[in-house]
Amino acid sequence: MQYKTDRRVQSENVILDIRNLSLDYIMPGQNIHAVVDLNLVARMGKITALIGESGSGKSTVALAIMGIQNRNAVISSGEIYLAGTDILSMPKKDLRSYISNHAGIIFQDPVDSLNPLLTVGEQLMETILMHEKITKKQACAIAFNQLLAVSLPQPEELMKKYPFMLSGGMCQRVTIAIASVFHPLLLIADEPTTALDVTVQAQILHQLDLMRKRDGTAILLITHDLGVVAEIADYVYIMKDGHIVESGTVDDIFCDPQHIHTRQLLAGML
Amino acid sequence: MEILVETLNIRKCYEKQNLFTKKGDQVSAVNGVSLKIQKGRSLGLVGESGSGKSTLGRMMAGLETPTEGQALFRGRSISNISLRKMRPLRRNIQMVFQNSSSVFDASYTVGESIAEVIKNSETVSKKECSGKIETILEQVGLDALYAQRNPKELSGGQRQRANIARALVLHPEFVVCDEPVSSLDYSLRKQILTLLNDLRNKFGLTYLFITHDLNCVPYVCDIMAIMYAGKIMEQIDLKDNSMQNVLHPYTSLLLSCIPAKVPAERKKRAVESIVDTTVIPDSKHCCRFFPRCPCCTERCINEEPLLKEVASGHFVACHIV
Repeated sequence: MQYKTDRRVQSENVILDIRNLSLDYIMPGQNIHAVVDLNLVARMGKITALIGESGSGKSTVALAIMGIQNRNAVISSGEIYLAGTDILSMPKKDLRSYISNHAGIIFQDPVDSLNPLLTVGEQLMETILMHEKITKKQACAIAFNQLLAVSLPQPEELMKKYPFMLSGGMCQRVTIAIASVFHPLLLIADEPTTALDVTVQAQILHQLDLMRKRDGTAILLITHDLGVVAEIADYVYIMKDGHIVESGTVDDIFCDPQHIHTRQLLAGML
Repeated sequence: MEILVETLNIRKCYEKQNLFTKKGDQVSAVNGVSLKIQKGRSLGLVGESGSGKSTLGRMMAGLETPTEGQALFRGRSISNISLRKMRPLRRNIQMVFQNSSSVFDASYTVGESIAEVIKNSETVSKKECSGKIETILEQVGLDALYAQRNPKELSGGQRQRANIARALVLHPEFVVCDEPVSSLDYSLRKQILTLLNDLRNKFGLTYLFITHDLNCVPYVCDIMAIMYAGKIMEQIDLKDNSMQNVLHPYTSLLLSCIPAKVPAERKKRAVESIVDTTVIPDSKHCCRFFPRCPCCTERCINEEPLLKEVASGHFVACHIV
């Protein structure tokens, strides 16, 4: 099995390297260019923020990295190197296990991303058993540790609970626990705190910060909240209508914004 | 100044419905709140989800009947009155709801939805009606052509403007804004808040502004009230006092959770004290915040603190202050 690989990617701690990615949505009568010639790099142990207004194509990028884009989405050009391998050149049968071993994703609404019919424990164990040939008991132990790792209190009781019995913040931590079961190199957080209270937001951000420091996870944070970005991000990409209009370190973007769109976004901050 | 809206020790209990038993437990959403809003001022009600702020807002708008106590508008009770008596008051009390997409009927155009509000309390000709709709749409910054559109054809920001137009078309005196910007993009929030401010100056409106985002408060509010578990914890007049002068531990916690504005302002914060599982004590004779409070004393567990004035226009319910 030979896939397109890139050595530089492995040597410079680059976990995710997107090059010249273009993606179109095929609609009846017209094609929408959702992502145009996008370049993005996410490094180990760093939080990379992708900022844009709704409709700018930032979530489309996240879905394309996970290989779960809509059926009418066509990647017209570009490469996505995840941990050194171009996932777009991979055959479909290997894709799923490769991506899920290297990347995890959490979504905006934590209650919606959990299955309401399964307990928290069942959902965690389902993910674990899907990947490894181990006994249920072993899977249960992994699930237990995983819940502890995201600072949830009383894991044994929590495993028996259903998502609706938990608060939004707890549900979001369960989704983080599920996404990070196999210590992925990359965690994509698609607006992880938009639906949550400020106090809960502070906890979830703390959790993400902990993960990158403890496990060296590269985090791609997708958001429209510049406050969150100022708080924890290291690198920033500003996206508008499918294009990256500006990128740089968080200090550069906030102290010396160049593009007019970045300035407008900063001026719109409360 | 004239007091326009007032609540007197208002309470609301909901019955938790169990599936198999008839009687469920009582959950008190609002637990004895007394508030006063003077005409032309705007009160910001801040709290986490589940603190009862929306329930309080709905009671003050006359949409919900309190279990105990009452809400007054111009000194007259609007709780427990018949719908017929409520109707003339309704044009003076309006509400801007959080989710603008569920406010409008999907099969009506925006204009038809607003026209329904007008026809409800006025007898107007078609021409007058469409004239009114045109004026209000222009006042909220939308082109008059949007009256012909379906709500789903509007973007989130435009729909929120239409939502505000719907609430203001009758020129009410008192408007309850229930999280008007929470569902919007950050870049749009400032625009909508500025719009709300302009309209307030233009029409002399009185607002009850419900939000969980403390950042919004200085933009539109004169008074900030912090709510926790159905009680007012702190009330501060922002004209005389700075927002940084807050004294209650819960308010300080909320303030410390606001993300930095620039990367240089990042601070180390005590995330440990922010317990996630919101345990609200059962006992009535204790401070409701004590399980999460970093400076809890024995007195807090045994005695409920009452709202007391610590400076002019600044009230705090805490034993330590």
